[in-house]
Amino acid sequence: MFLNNIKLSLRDSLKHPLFTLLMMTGVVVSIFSMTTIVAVGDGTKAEIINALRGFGFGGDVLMVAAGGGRIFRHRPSAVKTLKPADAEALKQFPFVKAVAPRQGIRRYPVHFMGRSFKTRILGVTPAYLEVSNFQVDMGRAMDGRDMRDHRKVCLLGRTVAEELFPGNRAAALGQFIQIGKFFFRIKGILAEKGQLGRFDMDDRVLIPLSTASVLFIRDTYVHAISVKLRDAAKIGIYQEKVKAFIRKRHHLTPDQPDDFRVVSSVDVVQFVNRSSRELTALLIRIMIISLLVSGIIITNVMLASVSERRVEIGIKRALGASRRDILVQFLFEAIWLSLIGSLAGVCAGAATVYFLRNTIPAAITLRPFLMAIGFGLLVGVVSGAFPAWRAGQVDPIRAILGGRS
Amino acid sequence: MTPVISLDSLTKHYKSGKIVTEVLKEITFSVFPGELVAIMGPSGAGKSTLLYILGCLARPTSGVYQLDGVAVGDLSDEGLSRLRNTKLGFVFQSFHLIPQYTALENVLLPTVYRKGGKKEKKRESLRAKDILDMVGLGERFHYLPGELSGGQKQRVAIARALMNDPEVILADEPTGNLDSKQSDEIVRLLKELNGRGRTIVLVTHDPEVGQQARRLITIRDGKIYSDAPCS
Ligand SMILES: Nc1ncnc2c1ncn2[C@@H]1O[C@H](COP(=O)(O)OP(=O)(O)OP(=O)(O)O)[C@@H](O)[C@H]1O
Ligand SMILES: [Mg+2]
Repeated sequence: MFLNNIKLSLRDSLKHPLFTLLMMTGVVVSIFSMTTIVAVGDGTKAEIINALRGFGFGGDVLMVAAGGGRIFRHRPSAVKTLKPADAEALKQFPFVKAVAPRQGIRRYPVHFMGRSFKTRILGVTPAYLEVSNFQVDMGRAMDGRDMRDHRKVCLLGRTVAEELFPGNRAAALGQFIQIGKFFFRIKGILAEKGQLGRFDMDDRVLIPLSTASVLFIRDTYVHAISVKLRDAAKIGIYQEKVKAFIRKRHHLTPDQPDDFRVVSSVDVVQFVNRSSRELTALLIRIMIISLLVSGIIITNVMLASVSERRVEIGIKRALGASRRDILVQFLFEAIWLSLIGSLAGVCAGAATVYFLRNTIPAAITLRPFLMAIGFGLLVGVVSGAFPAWRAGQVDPIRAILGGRS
Repeated sequence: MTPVISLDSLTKHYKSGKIVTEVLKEITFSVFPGELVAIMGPSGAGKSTLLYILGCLARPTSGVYQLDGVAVGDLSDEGLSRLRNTKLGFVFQSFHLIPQYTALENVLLPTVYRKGGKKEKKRESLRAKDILDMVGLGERFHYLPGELSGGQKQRVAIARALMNDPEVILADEPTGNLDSKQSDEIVRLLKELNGRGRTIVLVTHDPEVGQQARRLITIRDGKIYSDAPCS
C-alpha cells in the first residue's frame, strides 16, 4: 500500500505538469550551479596534483624537510637537525619503498669553456631519480660508488645542458664543468621535465650527496628527505608514523615543537587551493541559499497545489485513503520532483562542463552526482513535509461538498 | 438476519465558537442487506451529515454505529479508511471523478488503497473493464471525465463505487446534477444493482427518485420524521 502511494505520487506529479515544472526549476538551477562549482574545484585540484606528480611529488611521496613551523617557507632553512641517518632509519618501515635525502646548495654559477650559467646544485643519492621521477636521457645515472668515493661527477638538467652545450648536448658527456672551485665530470643528462608554473624543473645539476657534504656544505646534515611509499592510500597514517618516528629519533619531549616538517602532496594541494577553497566556500554558501529558496518555492507551490487539489484529496479519502496515505503521496511528490530536478541539474551541469573542458579546468566526478541525490532528497523531504501534512489534514467532507460547510 | 447498518441514538453536533449546532438528534434505525433506502428531507435537515457518518468520513458526537457488525466508534483513522475502502462505495452529486485520470484509472483508484500484491494488477484491470462494460461504458475506458456526459460520468462513479465489491453503496443526490432522462437511467442502474442484491442508501431531493426506493426515510430538523416502505 505504501508502494502504491509512491507510484501514485509519481503518476499524479506527471498529471500536474505545470505545478511540477514550477517546483522543479529552483532545484535544477541550484544543482546546476553546484555541479559546475564542484567540477571546476575538482578540476583545479587534479591539475595541481598532476603538476606535482611531474615535480616528483606524487600522492605516494612524503617530504621530510628540516626545521619546524609552517609547511611552506620560501628559503631552505639552515637548520641542521636532519641527518642522512634519519633517512637510512626510515627504510626499516615496510611501507617505505625508497628514501632520497638531499642537500640544496643555493644557485651557483657553473662554467664550461667560457660559457657560464647560474643554476641549482643539489646533492643527492642514487635513489633520488626514482623517488623524484627523473629519467636519464643520455649517459648514465649516479651509482653507489660515486657516493662512496665522493666522486666529482654530475648529471645536468636539460636546460643547463642546452645553455652550456647549445645545439649538441651529446657532446657534454664526459666533459668537465666547473662548479665553484671544483671540476665535475658530466656523467649523464636528464630527460626534459618542463615547467611547474614559473619554476623550471630542468634548471638543475645533480651531484653525489657525499661530495656535496664535503665540498660545499662542509657538514653532513640534509635539507630534505623524500620518502616514496609502497601504498599511497594510507598516506595520512604513514605521515603521522614518520612524524612520531623522527620526533623520537631527535629525542623531542612532548612540550618541544617539531624541528622538521612532514609534508604530503595533499598539504601542498590544500595550500595552493586555499584561495580557491575560499571561493568555493562562498559559492557553496550561495548554493545553499539558492537551495533554501528552491525549498521555499516548493513549499509554497505545493501548498497552492494542495488547496487546488482538495477535491481530489477528499475523493481519495472517501475511496479508502487514510490521512497517512495522503501525506505519503504528497511527500513523495515533493521528493520525486526535487530528486528529478536535482538529477536534471547535475546532468545539465556535467554536460556544460564537458563542452567547456578545453576552456576551463574541470573534472566530472561522481561527487556532484551523489551530492545532487543527497540534496534532492533533503530538499524534497524538508520542503514537502508541511504541505504533505496539510494535505493529510484536509477535511474530506468539506472538500467533497465543495466549500459548503 | 443481521443488519449491515445499525444506528442507535446517534447525534452529531457542530461547534463553532460557543454556538453548538445540533445537526442530528437521536437517530436510530437499521438497514438490512439487499435494501434500497432513500433518505429525503428539506435542505439543511442533516441528510448529507448522516450519509457521511454512515460513510465513516465523519464521527458521530454520541451514539453507536455498527457497520457490518463492527463498532465504528472505536476505530482509528486507518481503521475507518480500511472500512471505507472495503465495505463502502460512494457516489456523489457532482460525480467527483479525478479529471486527470481516464475512466479506467478512476475506476481502479480504490484498489490503490487496498492490500494486495502485484499479481492482482491484471485481474483488477479486467474487473474494472467488466464493471465499466456493465454500466454501459465498454467503449470509453480511456476517455477523460471531461469527454463524458453527466450521465456517463455518474456511471463511471458508480463503477468506481463497485470496484472493491462493497457491502453498501452510499449516494448523496446522485441525480442532482442530471437532466431527467439521464436521471432515469441512473436510477434504473441503481435499481438493477439492488435487484442483484446490492444494498444502497441514497439521499435525494427528487420525490420521483425517492418513490423508486423500497423504503423511504424522511428527516426533518435532524430527526427521523417518517420511515416507511414505499408503495
Ligand atoms: N462542518 C460544519 N460545521 C457547522 N455546521 C455544519 C457543518 N456541516 C454541516 N453543517 C450544518 O448542518 C446542517 C445540515 O447540513 P447537511 O449538509 O447535512 O444538510 P442536507 O440535509 O444535506 O442539506 P441539502 O439538502 O441542502 O444538501 C446545516 O444546517 C449545515 O449548515
Ligand atoms: Mg446534502
